[in-house]
Amino acid sequence: MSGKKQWLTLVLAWLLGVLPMVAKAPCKTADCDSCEVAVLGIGGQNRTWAGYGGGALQVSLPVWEHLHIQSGLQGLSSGVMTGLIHVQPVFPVKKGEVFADVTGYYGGFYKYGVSEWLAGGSVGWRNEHISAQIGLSVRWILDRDSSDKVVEPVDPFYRIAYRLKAGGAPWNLTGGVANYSRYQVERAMEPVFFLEGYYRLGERLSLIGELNIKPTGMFHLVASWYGFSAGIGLSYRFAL
Amino acid sequence: MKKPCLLLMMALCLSACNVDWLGFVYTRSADADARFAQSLEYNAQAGYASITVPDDSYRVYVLTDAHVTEKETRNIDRFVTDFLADGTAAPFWINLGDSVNDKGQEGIFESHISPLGAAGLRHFPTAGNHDVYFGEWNEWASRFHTATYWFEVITPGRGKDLFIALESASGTLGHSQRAWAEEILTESQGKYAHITVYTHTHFWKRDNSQTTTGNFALEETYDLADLFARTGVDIVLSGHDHAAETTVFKGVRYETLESLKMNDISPGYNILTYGKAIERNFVPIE
Repeated sequence: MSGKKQWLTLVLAWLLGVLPMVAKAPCKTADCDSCEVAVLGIGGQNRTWAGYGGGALQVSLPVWEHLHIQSGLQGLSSGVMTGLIHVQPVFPVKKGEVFADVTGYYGGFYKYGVSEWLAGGSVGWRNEHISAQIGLSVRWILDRDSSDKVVEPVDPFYRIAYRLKAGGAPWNLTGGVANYSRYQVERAMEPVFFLEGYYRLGERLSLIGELNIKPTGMFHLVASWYGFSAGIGLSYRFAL
Repeated sequence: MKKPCLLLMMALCLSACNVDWLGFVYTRSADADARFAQSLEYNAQAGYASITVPDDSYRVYVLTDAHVTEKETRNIDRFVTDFLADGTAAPFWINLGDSVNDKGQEGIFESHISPLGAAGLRHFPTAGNHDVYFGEWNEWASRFHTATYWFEVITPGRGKDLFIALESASGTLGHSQRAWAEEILTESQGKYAHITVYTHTHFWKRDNSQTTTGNFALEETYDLADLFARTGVDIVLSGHDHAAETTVFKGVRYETLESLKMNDISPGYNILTYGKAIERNFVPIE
């Protein structure tokens, strides 16, 4: 399948699979403001691509009371299209909530004729400020022009974050480290440091932003700058 | 006041250890682009090597991750002894980096390999992450001069083979070295029977054999995989992981080689035979 067809297939699958959940989800929780769709402009720079830009779509919604879905779709001028989906069963506990996270990821690096697929599973715990999760993933790296493939099994998958304010605040900042962002899953030894936030412009509309910084060589113990990406956009929360 | 002092003391203690823990956040050696510039400056003065071999087939000794210390030199001595005893090997050898384990050990490594230089066997090294710990890049460069270069081997009837060393001690080639690699590989297309690229950092993570070893960032991994495929690279040699792995991707063969380090599970070195094809043979050291 050509790069353009893969791109279109991914977008179509995302539109058909995820967005309808926004309209049809039997969101029975008392606060359906957690159903959210966002659009961002993305820009960045790294040692491989110099400067690049693009856009992203994000959806975050509770499908049922104890099942949340988060999904992101990104396209970059560097010839990359990625899509990520997290399905999270969530269960309140005495302090905070525990959650599992089933992650699916697709990355199309069309400039290089490379596609990658990843499946991951993790468990975590979070409260009003802290979120931590850890698990494992398996990655398939495919050459679009031949049958060559590389399978990278059993790579750790993690995210640790701290949210400044409790939920429902008019603005908030969350910072942390993970080996994945909303758009890419890196190998475990290539962490991404992130800072994201929102500012409520109204009851349902928010200004959102994010910054991801990726060093390289940290686990070589020769840490160096690799690159960053930043995004700014708007999110809209649905009530059903 | 007490807490910052305690943290400072911990940092000083950690930096006094043989592992450069500060490298987790900051490297005291020059940046990848600066290291490349230094290598290129040396190359501009010294030029690039051209080695003539007597036969169309020749054998190349390759080692990686020797991690020599004052007390751990047995395996490098064994490598040197074997190489000197092999009268059929090519007059050069390749070193994929991490020659030393700790700071200040470069002189020990150099002294133990000196019999090879005395015998006219040329050393083609590149730097690994351990070689640049504690700001030791300048020490490494003062002894071995350049970590990014190319050289060619001329055979009587099979044409020439190209060898390209790329330095990846910090898990990236950096922007300038990547551009240089593309320039060299593009110019070399169609001119060589075999093209070999060698660097310290390995490209694929098909197991967790050393758990905490890092690779290149994924963008850089795919970019280099595409570059090597487009420009006809036959084989890419890497170390760092201390475990052997053969991967073929986009028609390019990636060989991660076993380490020479004493007390590793299966230490040894490799002999690559260049002929119509490239064959790899591992020589274990008990």
